[in-house]
Amino acid sequence: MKKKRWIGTTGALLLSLAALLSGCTAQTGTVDEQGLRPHLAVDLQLPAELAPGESGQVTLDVALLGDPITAEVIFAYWPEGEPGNAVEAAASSEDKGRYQTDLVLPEEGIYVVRAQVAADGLEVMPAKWLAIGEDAVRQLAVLEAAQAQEAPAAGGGGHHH
Amino acid sequence: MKPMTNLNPAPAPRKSTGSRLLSALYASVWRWHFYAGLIFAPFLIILAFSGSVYLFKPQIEGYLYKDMLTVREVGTQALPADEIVMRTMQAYPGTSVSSVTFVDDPGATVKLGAVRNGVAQTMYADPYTGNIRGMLDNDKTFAAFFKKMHSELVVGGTWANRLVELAACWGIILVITGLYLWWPRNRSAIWGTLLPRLSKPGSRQFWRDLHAVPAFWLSLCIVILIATGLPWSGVLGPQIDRVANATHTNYPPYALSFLGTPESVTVTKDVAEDIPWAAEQLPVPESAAGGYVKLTVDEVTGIAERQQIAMPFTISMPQGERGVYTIATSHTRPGDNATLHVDQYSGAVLTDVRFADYGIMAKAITLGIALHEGRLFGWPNQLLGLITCLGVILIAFSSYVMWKKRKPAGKLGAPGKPADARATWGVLAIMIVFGLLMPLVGLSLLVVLVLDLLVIRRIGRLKHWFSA
Repeated sequence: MKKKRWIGTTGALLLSLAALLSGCTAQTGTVDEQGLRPHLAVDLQLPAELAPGESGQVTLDVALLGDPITAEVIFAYWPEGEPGNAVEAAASSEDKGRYQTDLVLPEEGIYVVRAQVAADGLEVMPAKWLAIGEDAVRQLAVLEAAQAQEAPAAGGGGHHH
Repeated sequence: MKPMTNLNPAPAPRKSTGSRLLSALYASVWRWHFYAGLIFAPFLIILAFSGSVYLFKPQIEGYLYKDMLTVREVGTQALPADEIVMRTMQAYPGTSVSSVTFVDDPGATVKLGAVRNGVAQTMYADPYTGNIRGMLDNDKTFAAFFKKMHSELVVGGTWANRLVELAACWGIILVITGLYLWWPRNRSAIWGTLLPRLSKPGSRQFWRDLHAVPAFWLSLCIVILIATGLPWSGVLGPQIDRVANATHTNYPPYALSFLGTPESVTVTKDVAEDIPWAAEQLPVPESAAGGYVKLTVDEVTGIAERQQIAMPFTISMPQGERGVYTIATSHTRPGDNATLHVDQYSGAVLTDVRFADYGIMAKAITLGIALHEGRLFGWPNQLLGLITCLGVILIAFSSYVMWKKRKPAGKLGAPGKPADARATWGVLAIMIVFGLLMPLVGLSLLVVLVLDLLVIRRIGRLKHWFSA
């Protein structure tokens, strides 16, 4: 009887110690092989060719941990530099994780097409440029080059002491 | 020649073997304490002085740079951060903004981390007008000077940094050996142990008590102050890091914003592709879809707010097309520590490490750094740090006066070698343990032993001078 009680007490102590120590170790949660926490992976595809007034399809694939996932998706587009003039477009879905909308842009110019995505408590908001008309395409090349060159020089961060 | 009297309430000479051994031990510990103090006191004074100033960095810089840190007039609506960045880069050609720091104070300027013509600077922008109120070279600020004095003795470089670490480690040994010497052998001895005897100003007893009594009261603070500084030291720091890693009690990956970042995942395939129509030789198409648009700083600020990151926080810009935005709290309450890496195109939070995720050693190190820098519990923390620093200076100064008063002409005035060799070897063994725990101490012990054996003992005058 005494031996059983001793084993029980020791077991309880070891379990308490294990619980205590597990509270002392670094918590990484669920992370993938690159050490990233679960996040929504998206692939936004715009029509390859589009003329003013013509309809083209925008598609978005959403996945979580590599699997397609049901999400709340709202598409929006606006002329570059005018986010206040955003027009929202409803998203439809036939396959899990794939959303699309028909896009009709009235005139030539550069547009930003964005998808606002929320699923499983996570959110993402990918956006791409779409240029219609030769002048817009040329301007888009300039914009893309400018974005590529925007990367700042290293700020010389480091430990604070 | 002045006699080498011992004013400590030390063990009175007795005839028993045990007492003789204790006296020898006392002499041996005193000898180590003397030499360590003589060599390292100047460095400890520099550390204490620079540290006492650095403790008050927020107040001092707040006063010195008041014009840059505050706006002239608080406006009704702050400009978007992206506009401030854009205006700054336009107004100051050759400037690249690498980070934006937001504070929860409508009267404060926005801090921009920048590189201007290859020089790392901090620019202070009025959030209502976008005008730059002032800029400072990062390594020429008031705090930067004292930080360099504290960590590299102003001269800079690895050697200076190692010397600081060596002095700090010997500081711990000085406290421990000092406590042994201070320990009251006579139970009724309150004066000279807990309270100083100041009735004879200028006497050796006066200076001895000004050395030993404050040293006793501050011993714990001194050890804590040194111990909390060691995790970022050059030699012992990595050893502490190794222990934390081995016990899984360190920082989780991506916890520290300055130690590497992941890559944005949205563009892995897109950035590898060139834009074919951008080349002039090819015909320009009627329409074209571009790549992903980078998020704005304001959009990332929105993410930080939704993730409940406490201000002040800094948003660092992505480095290159595959880089990420980094949101990090800095120099605030340790419990609010957070580092997030955000995909620069989709806004996906790729990593999110908070203080609660740290292992216990990382938590202790983080709290220790805050304590060391006087920001763990407000002004009482600063005051405690200041008292400790001033105490160290007083302890070092009083020891110097004591030594000068006692020092015989033509000799160093070191305490004599203990009569019992067992004491010498016993204390040496303890020092070797310290040397194993603190590698630079171990290295310095080897140097001292080699010097002692090969030089001092072989040259009569040196041997006499050192009382070897």
